[in-house]
Amino acid sequence: MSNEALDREVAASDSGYRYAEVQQSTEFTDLRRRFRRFVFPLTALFMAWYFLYVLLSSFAVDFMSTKVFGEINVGLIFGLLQFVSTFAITVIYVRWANRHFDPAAEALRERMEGSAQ
Amino acid sequence: MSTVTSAMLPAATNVGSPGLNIAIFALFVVITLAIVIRASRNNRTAADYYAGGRAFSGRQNGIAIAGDYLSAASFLGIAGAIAVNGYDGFLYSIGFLVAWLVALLLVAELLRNTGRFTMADVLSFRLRQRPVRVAAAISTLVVSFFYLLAQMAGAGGLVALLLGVEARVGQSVVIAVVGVIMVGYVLIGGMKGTTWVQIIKATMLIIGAFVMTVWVLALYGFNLSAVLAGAVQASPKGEAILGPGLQYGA
Repeated sequence: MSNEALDREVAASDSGYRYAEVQQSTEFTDLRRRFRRFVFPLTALFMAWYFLYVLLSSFAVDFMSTKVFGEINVGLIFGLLQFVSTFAITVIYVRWANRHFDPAAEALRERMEGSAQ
Repeated sequence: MSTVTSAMLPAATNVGSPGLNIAIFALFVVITLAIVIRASRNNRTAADYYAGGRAFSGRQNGIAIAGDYLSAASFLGIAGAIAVNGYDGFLYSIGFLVAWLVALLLVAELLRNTGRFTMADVLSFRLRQRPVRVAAAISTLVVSFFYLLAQMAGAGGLVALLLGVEARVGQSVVIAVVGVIMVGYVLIGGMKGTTWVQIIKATMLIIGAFVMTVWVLALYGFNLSAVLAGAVQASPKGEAILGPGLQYGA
């Protein structure tokens, strides 16, 4: 399907001016603020944690090569903790989206499409 | 290419008989092509072709995306980087993992909200169609070209090793045939067909990697420290492979 056809489809289902109306509504701005308030700090957190790891690996070679037990050194533990944090953030995000964000977004969508008919 | 691949072949590697390897490869292609053709029978609308009719569950799509990531470049390249550079290969691979969070947190929800199929559809949603589509098409082609260059070099090395094709012309022919098969998958099956192929591939690779992991650990009495000690012994770089600094760093 071409983009023009898609646009016609969109235009047929919701008239264009309603987008601006919804975009300025308090429900939508509130929803967007909630999304950003959750996602931006989490992004800053994992970026800082990851760059700490990369910078330590680049500039603190002796520290990262320190053996903790057997042949396992600090760098290996740091690397494995990156796996732990990545999976943890994914689980936290999915839970938040399922419990809080998606229901709110769904409700807003239904109200929007319901009042268009 | 030929000097690279011959350098990639260790002297005394046992890779089985080329005939058996070709048979397994051909069997895999036949089975997956059959699935793609079956899946493509009900591709009717654009949503069927680009989004698999939106019939896949989140879990299925997740496995398929994992299959995309477990490509020749990552599956063989990362293993090779760790084998040669030790810790720095591991460090390199973590970037791939953490980068997923950018897509998850900053892109996924917003992309889904637009209800579009391709990157160009999303970008031209509110912008002027033609320049945005030209830019999106050019950047897609450039990225795909250099990405495929690495993938195909990996495929060539693998083919040379498993099928015993040593000649440069022979390798080029095999790479071209593999490329034509890949294009065929997408053209015939659309997103539904390719998603199924990726699900099968990801499942097989994850099971294979899991079996190899348990196997290697078992050889060293399920002691990770002993595995690393064995790696130090086997590596020409010795103790240095356990710490950072062989490839990156100041």
